[in-house]
Amino acid sequence: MQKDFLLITLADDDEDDRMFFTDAFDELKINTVVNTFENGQELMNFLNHPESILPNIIFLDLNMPIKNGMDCLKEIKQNERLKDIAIAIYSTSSSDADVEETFVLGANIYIKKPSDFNALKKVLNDVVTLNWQYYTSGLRKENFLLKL
Amino acid sequence: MLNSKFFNSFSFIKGIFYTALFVLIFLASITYRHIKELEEIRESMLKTYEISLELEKLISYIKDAETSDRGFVLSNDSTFLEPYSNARDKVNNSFFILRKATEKDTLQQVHLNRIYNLVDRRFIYFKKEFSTRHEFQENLKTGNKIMDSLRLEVNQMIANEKRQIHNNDRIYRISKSNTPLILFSTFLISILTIVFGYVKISKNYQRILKSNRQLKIYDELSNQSQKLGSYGTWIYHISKNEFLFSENYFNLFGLNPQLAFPKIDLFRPLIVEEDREKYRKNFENGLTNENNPSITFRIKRKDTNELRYLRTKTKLITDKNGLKSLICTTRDITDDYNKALLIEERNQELEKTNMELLEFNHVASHDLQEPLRKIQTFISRLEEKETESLSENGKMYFDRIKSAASRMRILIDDLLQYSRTSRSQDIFTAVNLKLMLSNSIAELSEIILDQKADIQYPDLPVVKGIEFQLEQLFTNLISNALKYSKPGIQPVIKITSEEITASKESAIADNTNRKYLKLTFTDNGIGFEQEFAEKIFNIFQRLHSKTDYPGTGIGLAICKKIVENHKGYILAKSIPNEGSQFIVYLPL
Repeated sequence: MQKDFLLITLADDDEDDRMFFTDAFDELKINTVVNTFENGQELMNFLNHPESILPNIIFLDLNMPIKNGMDCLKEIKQNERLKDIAIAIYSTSSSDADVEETFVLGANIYIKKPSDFNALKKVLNDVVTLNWQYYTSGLRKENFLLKL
Repeated sequence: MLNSKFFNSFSFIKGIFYTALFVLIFLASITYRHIKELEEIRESMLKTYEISLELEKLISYIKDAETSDRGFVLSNDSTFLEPYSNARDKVNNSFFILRKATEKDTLQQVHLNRIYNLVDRRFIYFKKEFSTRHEFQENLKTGNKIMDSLRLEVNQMIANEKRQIHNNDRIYRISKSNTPLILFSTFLISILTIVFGYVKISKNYQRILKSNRQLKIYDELSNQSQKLGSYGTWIYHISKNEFLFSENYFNLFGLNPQLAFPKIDLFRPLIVEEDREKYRKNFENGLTNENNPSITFRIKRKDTNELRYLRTKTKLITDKNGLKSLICTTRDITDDYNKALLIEERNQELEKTNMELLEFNHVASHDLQEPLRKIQTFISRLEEKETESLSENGKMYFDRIKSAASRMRILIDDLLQYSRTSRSQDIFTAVNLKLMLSNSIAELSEIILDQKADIQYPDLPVVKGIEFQLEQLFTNLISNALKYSKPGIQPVIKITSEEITASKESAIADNTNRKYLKLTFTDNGIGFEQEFAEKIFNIFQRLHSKTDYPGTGIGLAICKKIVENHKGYILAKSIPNEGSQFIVYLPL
């Protein structure tokens, strides 16, 4: 049953962004199940629950209250059970410092939130249809930040 | 070759005087010896004369005796016998004198002995009575014979003495002829030596006088400069344990200059207590260590009780005689210290304000992005799904909202870029300008193709800089030229590059011999009035309306920031309707 659809998780404190995110997947017509959390702590609680079905891709906002995306990224990558899940950073900023740090911490891709709904749909489509295995093996800093 | 240093040295003068002294002693001893010799010669001549005289006398006494004896024999008058009886005593007396005079001459003694014997014999033949005429005649004959031998001996002796005189005279003559020469020459030598020494000494003395005069002037100069430069000095003669303080050294401490020999103890109590140990250690280190570092210490002035900062440096020096002295220069750096403190404070304030401003700029533009992004996303959603349900007016308003939102997007992006450019913490690397330029052209290829622009550029060198900023600089300058091109005319942008020396370029405020790369971007666009040439680099400065030429007024400000980050210069020249020139100087 798991093979029929992708499990996608988003942690973002912004309600509008969560809405754009789910709307985009609704319109994309890919078999996905989207699960959203309001902050990093909620996300970690879910992931750490032993009965949770782990997602295929986690989209992480960086600026979040209680627990931010950077801390979540560290915890996930240090956890044996979670460390292989693909992590996409999903942030408003694309400051060099943030890009550099998340790359070093082991995130798989960095997405700057687009300001156009169609662009958002395209980005999300590209990300979920990526051949992750192939992409990750050739991961370099230059193609880490997804160019729109 | 002897160098002049030796000629002027004290040991040279010493040498001259030792020579003169030696010559004089030599002269004195020679003179003494000559006088002694002359004295001897005189004495021996006197003696010779005495001996000859005495011998003549002796003969005459004997003759007297003979005459009286004959007189007596002939007349038988006893009065004739008087000289005879006196003669014996006189002869003995003469012999005594002669013996004494010839004491040292054995040859003359021998002769004298013979004479003595002859005289004795002669006296035997003096008789008062003769029995026969024959006896008398015999007696007379023998007497005459003895008398002849006596005379012979005497003559011999006189001849000996004469010879001696002659000999002495010869020696004396030789001595006499040499003596004046020797005396004169040695005297001349000593005079010359002394004169030479005198000249030398007086020359040195003149020099010393001159040096002293100069020293006095320098002393006064030093005094003045010490006052003007608010510094003081002292010299410490270590072996004598003696300090020599300059006048202004007292002034630095708020003390009256003292003429007597003051001790360092006069100043030490004025040093702030916390700094005394540091000062003491530095002083002691200076006594043995050639490289004593300078230190700063605080004092409380005696007169005003004011806190002052003094910087001091000592140096150990050793003179020719191996005597060690410690010399010290101390400067009042309170004003410098306060100024530096003030500057440091201001700098920190400025840095803080600058950081805050940048932070603000960054955060503001960053945080503004979030709501704007959402507005734009909603606009895109509305545009896709809901435009049909809007009235014509509604659609127009919607379009206005959309364009205002995109303008805000550009503004925020530009601001972000500007604030990123201002944070110049990036490390300089070797940047291939040719590559940067082709990147810029590639980035703008769409507009270039659109406007059919002609961009001419030469080979560009490698400079030290921040890669992304230099690429940004080229992009901004080219896109600026394309944007302000004349409508309907093909834009031509000509880029030239040359290496220049700063001092030969009047346009830039650098008079050194530093080398710069001069890049000139010439276009054939609409240009601008030259009076705006500086203003256009200010942030948000625009020369045209938004509708004619949309833009934020940040592009050239970013260019300026980038060039300043590279310690370069940027300037613009333009003639309206003919075109503009943007000149960039990047240090090589």
